[in-house]
Amino acid sequence: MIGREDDVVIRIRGLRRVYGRGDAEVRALDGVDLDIPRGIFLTLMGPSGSGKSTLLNAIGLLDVPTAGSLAIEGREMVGLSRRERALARRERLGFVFQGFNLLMRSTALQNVELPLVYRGVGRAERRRRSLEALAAVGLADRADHLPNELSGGQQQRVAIARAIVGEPEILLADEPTGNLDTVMSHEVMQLLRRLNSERGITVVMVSHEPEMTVYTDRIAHFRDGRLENIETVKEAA
Amino acid sequence: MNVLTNALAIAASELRRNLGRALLTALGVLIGVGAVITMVGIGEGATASIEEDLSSIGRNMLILNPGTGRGQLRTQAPPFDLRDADAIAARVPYVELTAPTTTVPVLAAYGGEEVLTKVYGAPNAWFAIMDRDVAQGRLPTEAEQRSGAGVCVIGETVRQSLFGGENAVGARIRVADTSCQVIGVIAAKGANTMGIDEDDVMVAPLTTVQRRIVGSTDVTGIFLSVDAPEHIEEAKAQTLALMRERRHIGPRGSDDFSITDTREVATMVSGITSLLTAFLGAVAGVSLLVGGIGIMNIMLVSVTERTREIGIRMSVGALEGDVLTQFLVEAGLISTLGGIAGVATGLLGGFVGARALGVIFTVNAPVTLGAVAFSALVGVVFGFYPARRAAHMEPIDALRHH
Repeated sequence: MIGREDDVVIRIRGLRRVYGRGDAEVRALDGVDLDIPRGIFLTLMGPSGSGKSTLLNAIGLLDVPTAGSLAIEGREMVGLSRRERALARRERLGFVFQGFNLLMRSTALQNVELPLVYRGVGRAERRRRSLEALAAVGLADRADHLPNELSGGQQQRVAIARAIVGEPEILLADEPTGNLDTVMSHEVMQLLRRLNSERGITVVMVSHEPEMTVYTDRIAHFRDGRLENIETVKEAA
Repeated sequence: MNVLTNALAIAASELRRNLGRALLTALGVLIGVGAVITMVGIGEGATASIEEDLSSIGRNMLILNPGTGRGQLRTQAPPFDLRDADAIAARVPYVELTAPTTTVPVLAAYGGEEVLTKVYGAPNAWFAIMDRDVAQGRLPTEAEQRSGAGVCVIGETVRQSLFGGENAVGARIRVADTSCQVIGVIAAKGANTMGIDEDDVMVAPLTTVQRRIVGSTDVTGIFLSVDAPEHIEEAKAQTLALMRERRHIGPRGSDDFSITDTREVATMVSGITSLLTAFLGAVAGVSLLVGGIGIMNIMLVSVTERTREIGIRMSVGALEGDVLTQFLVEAGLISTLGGIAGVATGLLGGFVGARALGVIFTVNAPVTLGAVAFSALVGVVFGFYPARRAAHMEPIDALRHH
């Protein structure tokens, strides 16, 4: 599903992220303008060091841009305090990482419950919603397993359940299939696509695997910290 | 509340996972708290023992002795005589009883047994002033006092040495070069604050000791009782003035006799013990501080080890406060557990120590509760720096940590 172009959920203007100073200065983002419409599934692509991951981290409020503007749902995020960023992050955003980033000593269910714990959701409600999220990723029967008792694909699906359990508007995925084999990769991509179309969650994904982009609506190509062009993905045959 | 109970659950599971490390960390606090409670317990027990002695030390009592200073440094001075005691009784207000005494070390013997002790030649007023009485037998009569009869009253230690299980009253014993009949046994009192056995003593009429043992009419000590504690200072000052006059000491001359206020001495000893208690408590408190630094160390290691976990928690919505709480709760839990174990150890140590030193075993409830509260505080205070370090991490840096 492609969102309405006039309903922009993330508006980025002149975004810069500079590391280091003087000769050692690295411009990871060098003035990026980008509007992300609601409900779109967008891939950020580009070679290593092109700025795609930096942009994803900036959108995720995990990293602080050096200059420019980043508005989510019309609210400016650059210049917010740590606490305001953390609150906005937990209200609106869900994360999926390449390395899954599950707590290894907690069960699948406990991992999924984590965002609700920090939102102060009660025990019973937390459990119900987390089991629901696990069911949505097809792992209802694995709730009590520890991450190392699950396959890589299953672990990533637990991570996805954790990302959506708080019903975020935006799902950010940093190379979600980077650690998975082909079969698992396609499973995960299909799952993300389904969540995107069924729930209307805006998904922004960083990937360097062209075959995964077929599940997405558009591809934003990056080079040297700049957005080169945006390509619309043709409907899969 | 949800976050707090959750932090408790996380802390508990972290402690279980690193049980050995947590126990070692808690050990520092355990030793600190245990040391504080043991030291304060024993110190206060000693003070309480002294205060108990203090209340049994006799009436409001003053003792006059010729010479000044103590032990080897004591100066020689002419002794007193009976008229000195009479003059004090007549002229110093507030003085109720006077007991002129002469004291001399003697060898006492009965059957095959011998014991070195000291004999007080004293009137019966001595018993009243010293708050002592006979447990068996009687005190000398007026007639025996006047005539210097060969009768004596013996302390429990002397009785035990000479007679063992035998009946002492009525027996005739040798004292120095004379003999006397035991007419009474003084009720046992035990050792005083200075560790001197107050039952290692004999008492005979003053005349008896003067004539039969010493061979002079010297009086080597005068015991006085004052009617009320608030009059002791006044009585002491007036006695001093009177005796200076009687001994012809000019205005610039220094005293050649001393007046001891036993309560003053005991109070001083008690004060020293209290000071010692505070000092030992403070030293023990330092070990608690060291325990706290141990906690800080472990928590810093823990924060470093769990950097990635912190990043994950932040990415799913943990606020700074949540991370801070989690680590503070963990540090507080370790130190509180150490503190509780320390209380048990400290009470046990205090009990055993008090037994060994022969002082009263006391439990100071405020110090005990305070030690637990303080140990929790130590955890929170020393956990704060590591916890804040965890909470202040940028999530992206924490997530990249391997």
